[in-house]
Amino acid sequence: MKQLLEGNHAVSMGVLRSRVQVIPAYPITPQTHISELLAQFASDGTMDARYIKVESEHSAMAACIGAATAGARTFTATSSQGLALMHELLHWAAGGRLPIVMACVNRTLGAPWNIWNDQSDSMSQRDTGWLQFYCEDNQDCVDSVLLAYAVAERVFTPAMIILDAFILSHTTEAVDVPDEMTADRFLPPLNNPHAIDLDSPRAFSPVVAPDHFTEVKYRQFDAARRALTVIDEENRRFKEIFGRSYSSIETYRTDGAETIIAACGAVCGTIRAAVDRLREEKTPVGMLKVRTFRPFPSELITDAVSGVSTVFVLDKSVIPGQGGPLAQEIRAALYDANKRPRVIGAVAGLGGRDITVDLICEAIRGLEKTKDTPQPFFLGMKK
Amino acid sequence: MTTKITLTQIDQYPEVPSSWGGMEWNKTGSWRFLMPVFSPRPSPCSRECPLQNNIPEMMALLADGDTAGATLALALENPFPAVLGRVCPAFCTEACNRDRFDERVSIRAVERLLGNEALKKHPDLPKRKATGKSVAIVGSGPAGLSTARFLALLGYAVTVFEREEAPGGVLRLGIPPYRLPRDILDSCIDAIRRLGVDIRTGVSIGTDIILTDLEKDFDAVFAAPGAHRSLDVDLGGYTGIGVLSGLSFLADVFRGTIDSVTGEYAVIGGGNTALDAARTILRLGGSPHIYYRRSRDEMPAFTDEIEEAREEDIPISYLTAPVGLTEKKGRLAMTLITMELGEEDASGRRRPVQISGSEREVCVDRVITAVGEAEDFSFMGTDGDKKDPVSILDAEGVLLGGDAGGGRRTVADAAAAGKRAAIMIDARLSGRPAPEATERMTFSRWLEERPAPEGDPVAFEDIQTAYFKKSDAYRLQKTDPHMRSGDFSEVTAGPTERDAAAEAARCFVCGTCIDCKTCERFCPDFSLSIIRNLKARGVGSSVRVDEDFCKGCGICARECPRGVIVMKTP
Ligand code: SF4
Ligand code: SF4
Repeated sequence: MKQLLEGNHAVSMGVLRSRVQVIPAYPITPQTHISELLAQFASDGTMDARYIKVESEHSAMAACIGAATAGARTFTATSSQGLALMHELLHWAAGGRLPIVMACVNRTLGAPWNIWNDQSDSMSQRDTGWLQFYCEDNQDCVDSVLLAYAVAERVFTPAMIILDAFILSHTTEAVDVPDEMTADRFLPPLNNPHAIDLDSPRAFSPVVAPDHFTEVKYRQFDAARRALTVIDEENRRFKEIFGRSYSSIETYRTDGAETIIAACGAVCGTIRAAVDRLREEKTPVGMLKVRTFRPFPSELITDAVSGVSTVFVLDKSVIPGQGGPLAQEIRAALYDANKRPRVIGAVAGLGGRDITVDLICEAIRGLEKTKDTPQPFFLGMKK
Repeated sequence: MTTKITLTQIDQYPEVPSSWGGMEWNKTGSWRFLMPVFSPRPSPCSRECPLQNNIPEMMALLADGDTAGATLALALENPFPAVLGRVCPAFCTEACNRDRFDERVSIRAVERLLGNEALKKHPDLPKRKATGKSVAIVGSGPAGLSTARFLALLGYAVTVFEREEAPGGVLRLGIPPYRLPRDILDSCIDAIRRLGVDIRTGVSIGTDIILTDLEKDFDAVFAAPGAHRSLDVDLGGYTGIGVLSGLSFLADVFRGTIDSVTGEYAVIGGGNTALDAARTILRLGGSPHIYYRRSRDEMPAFTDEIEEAREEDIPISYLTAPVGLTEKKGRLAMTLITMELGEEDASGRRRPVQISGSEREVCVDRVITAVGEAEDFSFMGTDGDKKDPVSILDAEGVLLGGDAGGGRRTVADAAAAGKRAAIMIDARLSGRPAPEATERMTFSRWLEERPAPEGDPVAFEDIQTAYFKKSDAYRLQKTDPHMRSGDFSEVTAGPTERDAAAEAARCFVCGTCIDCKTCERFCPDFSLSIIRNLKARGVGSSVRVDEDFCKGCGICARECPRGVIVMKTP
């Protein structure tokens, strides 16, 4: 049965259905609704979970690490500066191989101060070793929680599900929340073989000297790489049970396309509409949605764009001195391809500025003119 | 225990970074540039106590329900805690670290309860076997009794000579029973007698027996003659009747020679004797009025006494001094002058200066003078009148102590001087090297031949206050001022055992390890092990640091609630 849910509450419902046991969280706009609803679930008995109030996001992640090490299914949510504050412990959770799931509600990073949406917070944590899944709509938000646990708990790597602030987090859509039994069938209780076992005492994440460190890191690297296959397998299982599918990349109307617009997150919905309009105008465009950003599905992307002349990458964050992170990754992936399309990097939607269908259409119509402008170019910026 | 695990292939590595092998191979001690050193230290209260009472230990034991252990810990250093728990100005509490947290611990109230316990239960004090040597003591005041008591514990045959009919010196003839009930005093003296001390009263050294005879008959002599001679006040040359010294007035009352008074009494002075005289006059039916030439701030009497006199509505005129006295129709006309405070004098107090033209006259029936007391060397016979009797005693090897021995004149200081004299005499007679004059030697350390603890007393900054809850200090109950001023019943009621234990539980136990295990729990390298002191509830435990693994992070020193661990450069 469908319910009207904002994106944040869709995440909370996903957490409920995942039967999470420990939730350490610290409030921050625009994430707060997620943890508020979970706190309520934990206190009124809807969930058999321990909600831990902490004094900072750093502590929230520290508590997640403790709970996950003990073998509990663990969740937290944060945004922006809160995520930045966790940075050190994100590495620790990933290095410790703890299958924690966290929702990051995308909000830009200061300074200057701004509470609106872009993807600079999650993108700035892309190298911490966490899996990253960008959601397109509220249904995606519920389902991604379940999928994230399914993958994370197989590869012992934490996963971040990412949803755009306000566009998803505070916007209501009709969402199909899986019923308990079906959800349990997809995601059985966690039985982590690497959790603390009093009968077999161990030192967790101890000092590892140079003679072993490389091997330990290699195992982590290998697990993250294997995750792509596991994501695929779990997605297929998910589709069998729920009928919905979330592959690492998704294409839209790419048949015969000369230009492909690539992006992550909710903006893909807008791009779909722009593609439709441009196709009506007989402009041969399609869309590439990158859902799994970590591990980066290089091969899938190379295959998807082979044969087109241009990949127009729309980044909702910018790395000063470099460009958009998605454009950077796609360029790197294409370097080894036989046929390398031209990659144009655009940056838009910073700090909550709307990306409209018109804006995208105009950009594509004027593509030839932008060929020689320095990249990335800032779409819709005042002259 | 370390398990050796050999990893040669990537798939031998565990999926998650964890080790069954232990971390002993990683000798984190090599990172250290500071070392935690277990450093039990004096508490500020013990340091300020003239007797060096082991306050932290007694508090820890009492708080833990071991009243008997606490009593013993106290009685080891304190010859009569029931007396000092009542009359001491509590130098300890003045220094209490809890002051900067909430309120100082009411140490004296706890001491009083334990003092009463000691009288009831007689703690089993360590006693050396008889040495076969004898010591004579002149005077049975607090110094004399204290020396006698500690010497008896050290195995000496002790004889105390007292010229009064009853022992106690200033405790009996100077301090009023409303501050020190006589049954308590008698029990304290009995307890000392029970140790084998022979107290001979009504024997006046210098008259009945001469000092040189004592020196011949005993292996050592200690003299604590006290300071019984009142200093004179210049009353404009008046030499007639109606003027009494405060000390002799009080002695007459407590001997029973005076049992009631009438009329108006001018009491001159601002020390305890003046206050005691005034409050005694009030209780005997007279009307006292105190005149003091400085202001309240300079008054040498204990704060409690001033406070209680005020509650009893005894008038005190500050910055007022008598300059003349004449007989007038069977009464006394006293000329008073107003003073103002000028430059500081040698005592550091501001010198009172007369304001000319401010003279006025009051009519009284009696004048009591109490402006200070001088030592009494009459026990030396004619030698006592010589210029420097102290060096004569020195030359003869007679130890001098108590109020006559110099220094601050309080019962606690006298008792401490007595303890020190006992140690000095034992050193001399047993051939052991005597402690340095500056060393704060305690009786238990002397007995057990332990060295003094090193270091400065624990400061408030050394206390980890996160482990303590704020609470109010225990306050003594006082009887109604108008009821109590009609007789000599005790002004204050002491705490119950429960009150005292609750107050003891407020003590931080500064500088003494009590096996709380905080350090052991916090050490990230499991480098600390506590060696529990089995003697009594872990009080006095010690901590061992494993140098192989302690990386010198200092968490233990930071977390120890009572400042027992100190970081030092190795
Ligand atoms: S807290 Fe206890 S040990 Fe510390 S100074 Fe006060 S009474 Fe003494
Ligand atoms: S923390 Fe406790 S056990 Fe450790 S030294 Fe201090 S008092 Fe002793």
